Amino acid sequence: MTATLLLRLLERIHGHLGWLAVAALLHPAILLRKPRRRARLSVSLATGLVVVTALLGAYFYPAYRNRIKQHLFIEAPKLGWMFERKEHLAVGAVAFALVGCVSHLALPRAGAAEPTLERLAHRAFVLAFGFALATAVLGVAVASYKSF
Amino acid sequence: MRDKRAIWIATVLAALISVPATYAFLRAYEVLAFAEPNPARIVWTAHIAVFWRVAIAAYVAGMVAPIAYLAARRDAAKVFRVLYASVFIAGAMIAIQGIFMP
Repeated sequence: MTATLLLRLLERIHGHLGWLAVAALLHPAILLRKPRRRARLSVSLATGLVVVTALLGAYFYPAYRNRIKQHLFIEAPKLGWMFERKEHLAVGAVAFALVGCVSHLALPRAGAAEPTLERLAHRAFVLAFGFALATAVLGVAVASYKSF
Repeated sequence: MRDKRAIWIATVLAALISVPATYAFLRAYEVLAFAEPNPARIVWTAHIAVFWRVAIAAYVAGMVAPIAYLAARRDAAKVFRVLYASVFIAGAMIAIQGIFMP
């Protein structure tokens, strides 16, 4: 398998995992609306998926910079800036998914802070879902124009 | 025992929430304070800005953690209320920066 083919494969996997992560994040964002609801498995799997997707993206990001970024900015600068937006919003998606996960998993040990943590976890997952959705949409827009 | 755990939870959450806020602040500062070269003219650079910003944000999170720990030891409930509001602020920061200051 050539390096280009491998990068192309990783990029496709990254894209598909990204959309799965969006779908997975929607689950806790809806479930945790009810304050007493517990969804440890859903929360853990959704966050794990987001983190794995982000790590995979970070793994081949240097290759994107070497092979695609400059060409993208020359040929379609708007899409180049869209990719920049995607990077920033992805950081938000990962960070808020982790915040939501820690908040929710820590609930049994939170004592008097439990009601605040319940609301915090829900809010964090709603934000993570919003950022992940925007990231996925922008990613598809760029990838459909230029790829490895 | 429960209170001690709550203090640690507040510490970890404060550190995590500081990451997107710091990231957004750093990028907004870069955009507003410096004239950046056109990306179409850059062939390659050793410096990967997004990784650098995440690393700096992680470093700041490490500095936020002991402050949050001390604050939570005094009044954990208040720290949790502040964290709850902070999630919204940090979310707004990275959304505004991400959309308007790419």
